[in-house]
Amino acid sequence: MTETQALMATLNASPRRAPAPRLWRRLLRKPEAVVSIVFLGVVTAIGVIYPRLRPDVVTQFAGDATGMLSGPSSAHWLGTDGLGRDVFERLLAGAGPTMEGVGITVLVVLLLGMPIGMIAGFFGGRVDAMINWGSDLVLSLPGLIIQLVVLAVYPANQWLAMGAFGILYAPRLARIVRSVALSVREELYVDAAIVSGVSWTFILTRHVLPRVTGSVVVQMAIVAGIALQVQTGLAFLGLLVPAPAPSWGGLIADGISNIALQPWLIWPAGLATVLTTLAFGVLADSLRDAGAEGWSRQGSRLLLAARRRPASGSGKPAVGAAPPEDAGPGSDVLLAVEDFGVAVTKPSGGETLLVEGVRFEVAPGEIVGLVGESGCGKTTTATAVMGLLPDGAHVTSGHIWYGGRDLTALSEAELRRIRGKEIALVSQEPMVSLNPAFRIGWQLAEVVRRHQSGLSRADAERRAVDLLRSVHLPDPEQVARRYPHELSGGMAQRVSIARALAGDPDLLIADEPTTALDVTVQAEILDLLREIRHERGMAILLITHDWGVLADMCDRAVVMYAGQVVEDASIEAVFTRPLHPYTTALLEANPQHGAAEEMLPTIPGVVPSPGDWPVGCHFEERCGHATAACGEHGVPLEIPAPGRLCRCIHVDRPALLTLETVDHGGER
Amino acid sequence: MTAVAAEREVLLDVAGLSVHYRGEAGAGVVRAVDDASLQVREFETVGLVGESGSGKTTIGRAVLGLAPVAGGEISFAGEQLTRASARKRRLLCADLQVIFQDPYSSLNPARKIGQTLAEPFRAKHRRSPAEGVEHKVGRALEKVGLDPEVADRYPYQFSGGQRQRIAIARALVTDPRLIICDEPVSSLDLSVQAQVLNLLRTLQTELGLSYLFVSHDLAVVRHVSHRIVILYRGRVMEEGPADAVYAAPAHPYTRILLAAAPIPDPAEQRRRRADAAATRNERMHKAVTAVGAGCPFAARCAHATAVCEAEQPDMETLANGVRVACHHWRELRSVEHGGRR
Repeated sequence: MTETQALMATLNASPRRAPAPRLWRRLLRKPEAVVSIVFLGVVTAIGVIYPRLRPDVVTQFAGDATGMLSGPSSAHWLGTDGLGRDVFERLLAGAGPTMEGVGITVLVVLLLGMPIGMIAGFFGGRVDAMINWGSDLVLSLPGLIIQLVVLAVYPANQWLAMGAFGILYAPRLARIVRSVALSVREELYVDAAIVSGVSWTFILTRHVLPRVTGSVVVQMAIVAGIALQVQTGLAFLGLLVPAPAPSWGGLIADGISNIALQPWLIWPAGLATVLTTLAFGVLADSLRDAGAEGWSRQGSRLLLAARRRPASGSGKPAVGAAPPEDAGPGSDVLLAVEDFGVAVTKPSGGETLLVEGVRFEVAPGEIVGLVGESGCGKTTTATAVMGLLPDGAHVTSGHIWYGGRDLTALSEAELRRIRGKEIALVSQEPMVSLNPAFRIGWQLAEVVRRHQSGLSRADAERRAVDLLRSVHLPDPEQVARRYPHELSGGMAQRVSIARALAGDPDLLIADEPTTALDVTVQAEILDLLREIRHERGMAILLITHDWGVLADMCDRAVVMYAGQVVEDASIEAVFTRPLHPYTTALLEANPQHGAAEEMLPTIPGVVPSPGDWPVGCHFEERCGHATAACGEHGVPLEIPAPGRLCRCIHVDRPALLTLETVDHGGER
Repeated sequence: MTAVAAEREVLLDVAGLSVHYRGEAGAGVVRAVDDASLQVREFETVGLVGESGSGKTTIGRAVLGLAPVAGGEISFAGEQLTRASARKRRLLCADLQVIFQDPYSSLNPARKIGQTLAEPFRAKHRRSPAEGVEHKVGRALEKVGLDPEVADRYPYQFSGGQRQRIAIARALVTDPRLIICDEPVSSLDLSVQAQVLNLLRTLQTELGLSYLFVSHDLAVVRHVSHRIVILYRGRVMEEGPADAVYAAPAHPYTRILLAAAPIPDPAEQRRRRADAAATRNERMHKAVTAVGAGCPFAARCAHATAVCEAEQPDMETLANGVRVACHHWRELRSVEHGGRR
């Protein structure tokens, strides 16, 4: 089991990132969160302790009769009220019933809303429908009136009044929890748990609950803010807290009734209410942000690849205003990428190379395949030709010659004229590139009008239908009237090819155009691309990981590994006489070559990510032919034979040319 | 090989299975699987092939009890699964496991690998293994070529290929007899795919496992399968020993499917493409919305006649052990033999 040992070794050797810090730790990194937590903690502590410490304040009917309605002074820090009582003491004691009301509501909402939501979302179907119906019923009840009725029957009963509010609010939380639970239900790990035979309570508590907690915590902070408003409002009306006992709402009411004599009085309780509500709001916001960070930390690498920005203005020194005639490649070459490199700047400073030393050419009308595993830089290279780079990335070296111009030196405005018009893109996910809100014909006409500014709306629509016909969509007029969601995957890919053709480009970049499609649909799309090449003389740069598609479509193959071009050869040569060990190994790993009942030759380990590249040959660690010399320094791309490129110091060692020596069935 | 396989005990028997879903409002019932039958024997890999909408994944899910069965019977090791009580199904769970396509969604990111792998032992009515859960989990991880210490780590610390190994370890932890593999290598890169395919083969030999291998990738299925089943719109079109089906496809749909997959040999592929162009027919492009009473493939088939539109073909068994559901397979075969040099 050597392969296993190698795998274990790589697993144990590679330093793993530390797990993302827990939610509360991320939360405590935010100063605004710390301030609101401390503030709310102090208010709650006062609310719990102070009324017990000073029961005389709670029961005090009248205070200093000589000093009624005085402003702040050293004797009474916040002044006195209409009965001469100390406002500061009453404010502190008032925190008690206020926070108690908030606590009751939060507790009721949590205990009712969370389990109901989880059950509705997890079981779905009839259970969900019944719970939904009940929720609608509760939500349609007029909340304030119910609370007033409760208080009319049980006067000044805060538990029942705020509890009723909690019951009326719980369906809102249940709905949020339900939608989260619904999405967790779709996860395959829940299916796997069901298959393993565990009970639904286990699945609910171990799989669903942790995923729900984040949004519940945020919701609870919001609920607390709202409950505070409701509690203060009812106390203001004098319905919750009986007469001598202080509450913030009662203090505000007292202030209002005396506003003509002492306008100061509404401020202390008013400010306390506002600040506490604000603290709950800030806490909710911070909780939500901290929760999102937990996911985005892990997803940051994916985001890096997904978001792209224009390549120009990237800080790369201009190569000179006009390149000398002999600098660019000859006229028989449409696109020439020379020693091209792209890097991202790390947050800590320094650079991580994404691709380096990329070199290939595309002749007019030629189909060139860019092949390799994921993470090898195929897409980064291809989109850089469009003048698009990943977020935060810049060109570090080289040129991209296209029709006598160096694309890396062009401005964004110049690139925009080339993009779509001269170089067009077809992506793996055609649906993503179509706007779901507009009809196909309208969207295509927009693209047509952008390329031909003088065209009328009607002419553009007619041209759009022609384009749809040219990609063999049956009944193009009818397709033009459809919305993207009404198309199948194959039809959507035809539409996106039609759009790419709108500017009549000379080069089409097709990024895994058939990976998401069924095999019969793939054959049709490949036929279409071949036909377009034939009829329009258009060159295609085809990115693929599928050797079959490569063999079917391409004239030349450019093999990439860990950010570098490692081999470039005609299509026959790649399959019959591959030179680079990676090409050989990847070809052999393809199940087509191994007959049933046989083990497939494998490549141990995985492709190193950018930043983990070795100093020497990038493939050295996984290569069966590696020697000490391979790891010493970077390997240059050499020309081992006319029309071929290979990046391997052992390129002339005959032992490497396994496929040629074995000679499978003599294709010459 | 085939003769030996025929003598082995039938482990999974799916007979006339139908799975229906309620479609969009007013669209009526979607027949995801329609009267499909297949068998998996001990120590055998059966490849379930079809394009999207063929019902291949649904059959696997129905066997696992994750999709509602509208008709037909599923039995496993002689026990009825379709009408089994929850308790009985839980007992059978240990023998019947699954590996899903997406190694990212199939592991709960918030739970340690060890917790996920120990999950089956939390099931009711199941005895914990004598040697202890931890030991059992460690053994399963070793079987897939991972260090038992990875039990203390979280899924995000692993690459796609490693996660798929962990998913395989989870399936192995209860010592199952049959594993449903639902596109287990589709999301993996070529070099990693080869590693996982080899692992599945090694495990089959060492542990005597059977696989129901669901995939859209014909090359992968050919590599792993002893027998294959070709599905189209929820129905079995053709079924038989993998070599026989690939060498001489009897059903027109199987031929189209095999011809459509490009092979990694430029010269051979050029020849295949020329062949395909010669037999190209416009019916293939037709968008088929409704299936009539007849053969579901009739609307797209170049050889369809009136009888195909009207009558559902019966399964017929050929000399080479292949079973095919086509009214015209005899004519097509003789044309084939006459046409080829």
